[in-house]
Amino acid sequence: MDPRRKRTAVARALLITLFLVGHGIYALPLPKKITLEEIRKQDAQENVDRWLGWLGSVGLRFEKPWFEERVTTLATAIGEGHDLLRTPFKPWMRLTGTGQSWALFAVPDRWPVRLEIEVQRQGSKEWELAYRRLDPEHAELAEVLRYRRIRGIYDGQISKPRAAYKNLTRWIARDIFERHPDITQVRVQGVKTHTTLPSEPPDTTRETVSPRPHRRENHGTAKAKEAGK
Amino acid sequence: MSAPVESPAPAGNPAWWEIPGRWARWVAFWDQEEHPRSLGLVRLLLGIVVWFDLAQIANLDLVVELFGTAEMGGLSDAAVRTEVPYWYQVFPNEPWSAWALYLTMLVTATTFTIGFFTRSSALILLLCWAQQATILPPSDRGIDLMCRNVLCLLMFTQAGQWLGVDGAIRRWRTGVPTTRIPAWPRYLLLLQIVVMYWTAGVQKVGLEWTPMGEFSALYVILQDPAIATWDFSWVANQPFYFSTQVGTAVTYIWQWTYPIVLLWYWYDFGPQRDTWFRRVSKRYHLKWIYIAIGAYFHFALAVTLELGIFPYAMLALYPAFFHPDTLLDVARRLRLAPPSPAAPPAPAAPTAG
Repeated sequence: MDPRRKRTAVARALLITLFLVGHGIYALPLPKKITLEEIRKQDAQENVDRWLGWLGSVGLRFEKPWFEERVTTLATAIGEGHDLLRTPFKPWMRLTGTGQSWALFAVPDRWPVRLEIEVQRQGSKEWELAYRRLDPEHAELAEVLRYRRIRGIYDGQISKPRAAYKNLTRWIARDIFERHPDITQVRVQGVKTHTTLPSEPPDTTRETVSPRPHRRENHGTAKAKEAGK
Repeated sequence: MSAPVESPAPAGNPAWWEIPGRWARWVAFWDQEEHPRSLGLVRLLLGIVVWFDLAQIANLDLVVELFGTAEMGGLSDAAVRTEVPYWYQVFPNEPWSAWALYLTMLVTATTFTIGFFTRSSALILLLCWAQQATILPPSDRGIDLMCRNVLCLLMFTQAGQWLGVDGAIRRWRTGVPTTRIPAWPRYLLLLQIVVMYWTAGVQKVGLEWTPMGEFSALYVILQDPAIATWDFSWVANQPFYFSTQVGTAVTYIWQWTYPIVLLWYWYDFGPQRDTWFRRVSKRYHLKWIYIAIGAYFHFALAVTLELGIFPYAMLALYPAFFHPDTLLDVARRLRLAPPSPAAPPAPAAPTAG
């Protein structure tokens, strides 16, 4: 091998080694930091109960609060250690938007939330269903809301609304006000249900989550502005 | 599946594992070359998927919504964060900036797909995609991360040398097609797929993936209205529920054990040592069974769940599983490529795949 090619090959092997170390650290399937508040949420509690039940069946009995505290302490310590290891590689990963995070359906959601949009028309106090996910009879904006990037916003944030979800509901309302001049109010919300297994008694619990009402007068739509001129 | 090596390593060169010294072997392993066919196919298929995803954004009139900030009608709070994304540090908070970012991605996705300035296109597309992810993080899904990881590899490759404008230009200039490019990006791509499947498996801590949760994970996932394609409540009836339990168990075991695929590649393209497991693996084509399960898994996801480009982008990476000579062999069997020349094949220098 000629010396120039050899130097290139060595440099390449070094860079690949560095790349493998960085991505290897990112890929380590270690638990993430978790708070007591998060582990005590409804959907996490179901898993805690199942784990306690399973551990109990093999003779390992723990008090639930003690178990929750130990799990959060351990997971947080591991998560922080992992974060420290990632530090040298963070600038590159952030710049390129790369990484290794593949917790796909790690814990299937037994409390799924279905997005709904309700509207009120002029002269009526009744809320009318305009959109419900997977309901072909109520499909206002259905094509946009099923797009993966939009779904990611409401599916990920509807239980704990943050800026993107709030902006999405505002955008939905503005769009509906523009296209339906008779609609005076729009309410975007989720309906949480409980998925039970066929072997379990059905649970018909329905809980409305994160309702975001919007009034026409608070939305300066293009058409409204035009009409006002 | 074995195939004649179309462009064997230069005669007289020892195989990488015959080289003395661990570091020298490591260097030689990453220094191997192969035909650009497999990576070219990945580039083409992935580029098409990415292009359609971007086109869908414009079709749904969501450019400003997804690439812009709340101040201009977008869904992002990027402009008021303490750490503003680079894009909006450089460009003003105006709708045209959102369009500029989108159009840069669309143009580079197009040039990447057709293999024109392939490496620069991959780099610019990667950096712009990372900016979109920073502007609106919840709109960025796992498959976006995977695509960026792949772009990060492909920006170092000559993937445009096969079925690409770069290859055509080079052929026009030199009169000969490129038949050997560095093989390491394909090895890393293969490793990336293995890591993704395996870590997705070991992080499945929900008891629904295990017998303690009745192997009910797929059933539970199908009941989630946010991602299900239809109402799957009927799956609670037998034998459908049982079929989801089988699917859950197979998915779980398959993902947990996926690294074994690397062992089978070692068997196919590494030092030739005869073991009973190697014989069994080869005899029952276990490697291809694992890969076929993955393809079926993605087809099933495409039909039952609305995960956007996820199954298609993952399938677009599958040509990386095939050594370029194997692909040629398949194409010949399907009569999509001219038969091999009558001359006896060169002695097959094993090439890692």
